[in-house]
Parts: sequence; C-alpha cells; structure tokens
Amino acid sequence: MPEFVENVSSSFSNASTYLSSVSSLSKVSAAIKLELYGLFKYVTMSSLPNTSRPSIFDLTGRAKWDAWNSAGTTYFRKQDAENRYIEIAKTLGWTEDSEVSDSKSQQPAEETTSDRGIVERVPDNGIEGMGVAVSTMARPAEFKEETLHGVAIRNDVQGLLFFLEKYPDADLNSRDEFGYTPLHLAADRGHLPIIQILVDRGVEIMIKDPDGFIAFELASIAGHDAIRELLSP
Amino acid sequence: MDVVKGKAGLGGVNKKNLGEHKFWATQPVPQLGEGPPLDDGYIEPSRPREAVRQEPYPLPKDFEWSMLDIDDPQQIKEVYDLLSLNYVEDDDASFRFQYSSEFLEWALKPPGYHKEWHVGVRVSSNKKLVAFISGVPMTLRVRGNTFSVSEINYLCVHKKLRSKRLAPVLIKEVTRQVHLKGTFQAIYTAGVVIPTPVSVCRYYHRLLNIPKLVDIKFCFVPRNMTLARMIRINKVSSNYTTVGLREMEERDALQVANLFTRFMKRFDMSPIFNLAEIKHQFLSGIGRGNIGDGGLGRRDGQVTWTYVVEDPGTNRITDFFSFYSLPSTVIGNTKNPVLEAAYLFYYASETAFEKGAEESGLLKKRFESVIGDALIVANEANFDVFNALTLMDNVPILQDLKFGVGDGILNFYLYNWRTAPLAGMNSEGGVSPGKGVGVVML
Repeated sequence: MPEFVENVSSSFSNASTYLSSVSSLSKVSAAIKLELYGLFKYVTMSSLPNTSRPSIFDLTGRAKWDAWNSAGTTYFRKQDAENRYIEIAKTLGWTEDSEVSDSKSQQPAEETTSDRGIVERVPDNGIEGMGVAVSTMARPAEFKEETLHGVAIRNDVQGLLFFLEKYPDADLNSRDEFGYTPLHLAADRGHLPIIQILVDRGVEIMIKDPDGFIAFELASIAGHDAIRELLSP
Repeated sequence: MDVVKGKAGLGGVNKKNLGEHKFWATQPVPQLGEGPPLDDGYIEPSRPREAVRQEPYPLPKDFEWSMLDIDDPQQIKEVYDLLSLNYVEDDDASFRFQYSSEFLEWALKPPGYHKEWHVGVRVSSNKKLVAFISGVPMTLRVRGNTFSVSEINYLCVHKKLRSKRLAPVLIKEVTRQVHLKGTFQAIYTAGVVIPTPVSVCRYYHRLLNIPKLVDIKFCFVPRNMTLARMIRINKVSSNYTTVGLREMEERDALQVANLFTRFMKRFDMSPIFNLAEIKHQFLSGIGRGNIGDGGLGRRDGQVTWTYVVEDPGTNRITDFFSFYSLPSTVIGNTKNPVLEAAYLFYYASETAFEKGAEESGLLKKRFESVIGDALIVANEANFDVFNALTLMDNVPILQDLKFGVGDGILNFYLYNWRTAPLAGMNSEGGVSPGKGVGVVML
C-alpha cells in the first residue's frame, strides 16, 4: 500500500488505490477531483490544511487548499469524509471488490500519473524548515456574496455600481442576516470608495448596528480616519 | 493521480522533495507507513566514540564549518542576523520568526550544553555565516524509557543557498557531533512532514491586540461581526482569578522542580529537568533591571515569564505557569513591523493529583483560572497574541479561554527511536488529545 495513515478503512484505501490507477478519471471534472483531494487530505492527514491559504497568484494551490478546508468544515467526523470519498469512488466505477492494482500505485507520483488538469505547486521549504512553525489564524472559507453586503465587504466598487444599475430600487439600508447594513460593513472594514458611493446615493448614516454602533463609530473604533470624517454626524 | 491521493501535499512524495525522502531513507528514523513498533527502542545501537566518524562531512567548495561560540555577543548576533532574515516563514511569507539574542542565549545554553553542537557554515572567503543548526542536551522520557537526547533546532540555510542542499549535510554533521558526545537519540520538530512524525500538534491563538492583528492580517474580521465586536468579545479581564499569584523567584525552584517532575509523568513524553535545569528554564530568561524597563510589563531583554501560585495558608506552591516571548517580523509592514507573540511554555498544578480531578472537570477549571491569569500577564506586557499547541492539558481549555484554531501545525520527531504515535491534536490509543506530548520546543 502507499504511505497511508494506519487508521483508515480498507474500503477507503482500496478506493483511493483504484482512483489513482483508473484511466477514465481523466474525464472527471476538476470540481470532483478537488473534492476528492480535499477528502483524501482530511482522512489521511488532518481535518484542516496545515498551511496558510496560498495567495491568489497560486490558483491551483489555493483551489486545493480551499477544497481541503471545505472538506474539513463540511464533515464533522473523519468517518463522514471517508464515506463521502467512497461514495464518489463508487460513482466513478469503484466497487468493494474491485481489484487492487498495487504495482502502479506504489510508484512515486512523478511523470506518468501526475497532474491531469491540476498543476502542482510543490512547497520548497522542505527540511530547511526544521524548527517550530509559524502559524496565523486559520481563515474561514469565503463565499462570494453577490449582494449589496457582499460587494461592500470586499470593496468591490465595480460590483456595487453594477448592482445599483441593475437594481435601482434596492434598499441601501437593508440589514444582512447578522443585522448589518452595507454602510456598517464598509465602515468597519475601511472601504472608503464604497462609502462615498453609498453616501452619494443618500444612504442613512445614523442606523445602529446590533451592538448599538452607528457607522461613524465603527470606523472610529477601527481607526479609519478618512471614513470617520466623511460620516461625522 | 497524485491529486486524488493527496500525494502532492506536504507529506507526499513528489519530484522536488524526493531527494529529501531519499536522505531520510538513509537515516535511522521510522519510514513512512511502517506502522507502530512492537516494542519501543532504538533503530541503530549506540557506538563507542572511536567508532564514530572522526572527520567532518565534506562541504561544497567555498564553504567551511564553524563552531559558533554563543558566549561571544558578536557570534550570537551573527546567528540572530542569519535567522531573522532567513528562518521559518508562513506560506504567504507574511511573518518570519525573529528570535532575539537573549532568546538564543537562553535556548542554546542550558546546563551542560556543548559548544560543538552549535554548528555553523561560513563562506570561506569572507567568513560570512550562511547556515546554522544547533543541538542542546536534554533528558527525555518516552513512555517507559528515559534517555539522553539532543534537542535539534534552528536549522537555517541562507535563502540564496537553498539549492546547494546544505540541510542534509548540516543534519549529518550535527548528528556526528552529537554522537561524539555519546548521545544517539534526538528530538526535533518541523512544520513540514518528513519521515515520520511521532505526533502532530496544531497551533491555537488567543488574540489580544485585535486592531493590530487585523491590520497585519494575522486574523480577519469574521463575516458575522465587526472589529468593534471582535474587540469586545476578546477583551482580557484585568482581574486575576488565582489567589496567591506572584512571579517565581529563586527560592521557589525546589518546589517548582518537585511539582513539575510529578506533574509531567502524566504525559507519554516529557523532559526530565534537574534543579539546575528548572532554574535555567524558568528563571534565567527574566531579563535585566525592573519590570517596565523593557516596555510595559517587561524587563529589558525579557524572554520568559514564570509565575507561581502560593497557597496563602500553607505557603506551598500549588501551581505555576510560564510563557516565553518569540516575536515575528511582519514582512513588508512599516506601521507594525513586529508581531509580539507569547507562547505558552510549561505549567503544572497540584489539582492534577486530587482524586477524580480530571473526570469531574476540576482540573480543567483550575487551568482555565491559571492559564487565564497567564493571558492577563501577557496582555499587560503588551503581547499581541498568545499561542499554544494542542499538547499537555491545553486541549480542554482552549475554547473557553477563547483561543482560535491556527493554520499552522507542528510535527514532532524522534531520531533513532521507535514508539507508537503520541496523542497530540488527535487522541491515540485511548489517550486524550494533547496528553501524549509534554515537550515544548523553542
């Protein structure tokens, strides 16, 4: 068997061996491959990635990281991730009694079995990183919200203008599920361009957030001086 | 289909680190996938001194070996300079450890240290220090066996020389030096996976200075809240909860040593410290002058903080905690160039010996109080974040003390010693998470 962690079921290891050698997998979508990748990492390594999220310049690494992170946040128990992996393997033709072709799976994944649409980025810190590790807070998976609140939070000026054009009657003061208006969010995160547009459109600046703060106070606490001046009541 | 099998990740075999795996295949370490041993023990036997290779390993031309004299401020500075520009970074290259000279002096010179274990590589022509690795002696207990080990740390190769494959030869040379002193086992840690971790721990972070941590992108404001709320819910109280808390003094060393020794037996793997080592670990890093000389809540050059809880009735030391300062450079941030991080070090409590204290939750409650006080001390010394790993008794208290999960993991390794996996972030063989590991690496 390949370098497996001991405590995985034989179904899981057989399924992964099958998936590593089956040729029809080249037709499988990148989304499924990524999901399999994330589940595999969860089951054999840890529930969440052990590195920080790769930058946007490393699209592949980032996609893989996200897939792993998503597996870790979706499946509470390792067993559930394992079951999901096996479930997908079955849809790709694996059965409990599929023959295990060990010869192929034992080869280091160098040339023949690499990639298939997903280009690798190999960490090069290697053993030169012996010592303790740098860690920062794990970042929750981000979902791109196509809402007023979503564009406000990610400082998406184009998105905001597009949104306002498409929905001219949209309520600029609407609250999201957490009770914040777009102005609250933009003031807190420090997105001056968004605030300028919202203010130009006559947004209500005295609305209190769930903690009783108006946007001006949120910007003050967060130290966004330019916004603070703009919103000064 | 390496993507599906996850091989391309850190632990896997891939083109680039195949060389490293080849290197580790030649070393007396458990190989990946070999499974737990039937019995604990060494992989290759110890040898008499004369059977150890006597000549240093060859270096690429233009480089030479150099023993670093850590008593010489100039040479400590050289190590500091090398590490602060070239040592471990996070994957985004946003933070890099910045070990202070005082820290290195504390970490590299415990009682009985060997200067031969402070191994450097210099450029022959200009004598510039370009690589370093160190070992310090420690007595380690792993389950039922106690033996001498070298604690290997600070392997660092200058960024421009990463292609020269100096790391394996540094490891071999420090191993040779360790063998020459009659030690044949080692303990080390790494963020990356190499053959083969004996335990895996995850970092957790208690955020203290929220605005700064958000500014330097150490953390982010969650979608469901504002910075204002984040500040409020992470606000550290200023009221200490343990009665009789004070800074540890020289006169406490014997009692702390006694408590430490009994307490650490509760973990599968732990160091054995004698009195001199207790004094070194907990008292030698307190810095110079008075508290406040090195900034709010700190002495000048302070590396460690150790506090004891003295029972006001019996004057007995019932608990202690310690943490150390390990800042990181915030790469490319001029407004906030340094992240001030405190790391939880060793601690102990008599409560652990009360009958049923763990089952009833009494011990958890005690540590929430004791480590909660550590957070207050760290907060008052202006630390930005307080870090802890999933080891010792940390796991049950992390959530209630508002630690958040980190993206970093730390793998523990033993050189020339086989034992079954130790419970770190996951439980192992019925042992609760954390309780396998009682070693804190610096």
